[in-house]
Amino acid sequence: MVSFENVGKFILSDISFCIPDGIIAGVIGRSGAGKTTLIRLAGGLLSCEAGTVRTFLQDPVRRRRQIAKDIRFFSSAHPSFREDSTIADEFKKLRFVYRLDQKEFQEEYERLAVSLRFGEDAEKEIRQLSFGQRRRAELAAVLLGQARLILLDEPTVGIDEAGKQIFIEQLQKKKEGGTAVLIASENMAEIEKACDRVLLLDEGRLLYYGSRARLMRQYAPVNEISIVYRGRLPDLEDLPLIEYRIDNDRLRCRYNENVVSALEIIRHVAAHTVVAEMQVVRPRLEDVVMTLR
Amino acid sequence: MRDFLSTYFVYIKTFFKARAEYKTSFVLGMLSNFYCYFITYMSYWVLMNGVDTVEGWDFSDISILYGLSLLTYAIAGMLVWYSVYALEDLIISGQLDIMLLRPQGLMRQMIFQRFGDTFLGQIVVTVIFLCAAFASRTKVIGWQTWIYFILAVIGGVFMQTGSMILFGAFSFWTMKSGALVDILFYDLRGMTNYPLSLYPRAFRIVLTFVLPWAFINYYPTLIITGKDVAVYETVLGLAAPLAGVLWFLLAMGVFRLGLKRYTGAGG
Repeated sequence: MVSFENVGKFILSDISFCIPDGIIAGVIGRSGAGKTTLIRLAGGLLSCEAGTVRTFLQDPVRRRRQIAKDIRFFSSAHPSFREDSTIADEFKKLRFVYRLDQKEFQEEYERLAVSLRFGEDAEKEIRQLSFGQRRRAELAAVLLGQARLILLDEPTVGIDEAGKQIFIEQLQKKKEGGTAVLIASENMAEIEKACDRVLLLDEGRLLYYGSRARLMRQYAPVNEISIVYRGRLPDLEDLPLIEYRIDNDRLRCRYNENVVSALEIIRHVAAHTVVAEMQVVRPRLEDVVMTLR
Repeated sequence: MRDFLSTYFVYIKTFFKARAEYKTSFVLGMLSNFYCYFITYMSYWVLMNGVDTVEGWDFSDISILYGLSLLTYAIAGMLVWYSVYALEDLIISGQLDIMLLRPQGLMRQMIFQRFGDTFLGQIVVTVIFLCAAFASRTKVIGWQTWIYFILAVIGGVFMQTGSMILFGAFSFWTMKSGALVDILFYDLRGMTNYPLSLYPRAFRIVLTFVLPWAFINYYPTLIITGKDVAVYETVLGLAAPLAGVLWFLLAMGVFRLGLKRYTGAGG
């Protein structure tokens, strides 16, 4: 659990929110929006200039050592492992760092090595591994043990699509166990589905905090629907659409989902024709970020 | 403490495993250190060869004086030298953040960071010359002196470790503090390889109360070799182990202050 109350630091000003346990929150915004600063404040790596930061209801700067055992931190900008060591050895050290039970550790390590596919590289010197191979092991380190808070700064840089998917699945498992996850990323497209909530930062201000669905309704309510029909199209003037276009047997319309739902449009069309095919296109979270000023 | 040692052991084991990949560089590093300090000892022997004593100090006295300095330096170096020197890199690379978010003290993790294996060569040389020095002494050394010797070594290790930490902590304020450290620590401490009584009073005061390197070896050697004529020499000699611990605590205080500064304004 992390809470910010009127926090100010560097570019960030007057930031307030609370992330309870069992929630994955995505911190999104353009570069320079203050994402990294927010993550570092939550971990107590920075002290704030104004307001209060609480992690597990404690001051994360003053109690950093005590709360650290429940926190996992990853930043794509920092090397987590020593170059001259091996993945197996670095994990062995982590077992001591987090005081994990030998048997449980072994099971979890083997499970992670299989799912994030670094088992084969585990005994090789880390400097000989490729960036992606290292990165998968570094991300696995974040999943080790039952942490209460996982802080991730641009975690998906440099790993392949399959790796990302597996990592997100693992994060969701942790979340079901009650872990709160804070992910800062510029490229939200790849992790947005995993996020329960979104923190939208722009030039240091928190523009939005809440569920992803509500964010879309608030900032990007205009969707597009395309319906292929058979028969005679009814009059569409009754529907509060923004605009529509018909070519051949395909109807395309743009509508505000706060005014009319996709279901209402389909019902209206289906009442007089046979609907053969349909598709709803929603704006992506990235597009929302791009449109913000 | 048991926990510390068992974790340290795990880290050392993985360190040596990694090191074993480069056996030649490991062996050469040890040998060059051994050679370099062996030559230094021999140069003292050559210097002392023509004369019986310098201000009442013979070669075995000088061996103990230099030995105490080098031994404590090498032990401290094995523990923290590499990590303290790496502090600047740790800050720049951001690895310090990773370490800060782990549930151990930063200092402990820095000790675990790397084992200063190259210092083993110095330890071997020093032990050889210290043994020779003690063996050549005609006067019997009492058990009290042995206990004092051990305490002085421990105090010296504290002072040397503290100094490395103190100067390393400068990285929190300014990057590239190397030149200053070289003068304050290495050059000035090098002066204590000769009896302090050779120097003008001002130097003695500086090396006792400002940069107290004289507590590492000079005052302890006075006690061990029975040269503590004046009362203040006996007092300072007996206080040496304590001075080491105090200096270490001071250094840790400065280190914490630096760390505070880092989280307050850094990043």
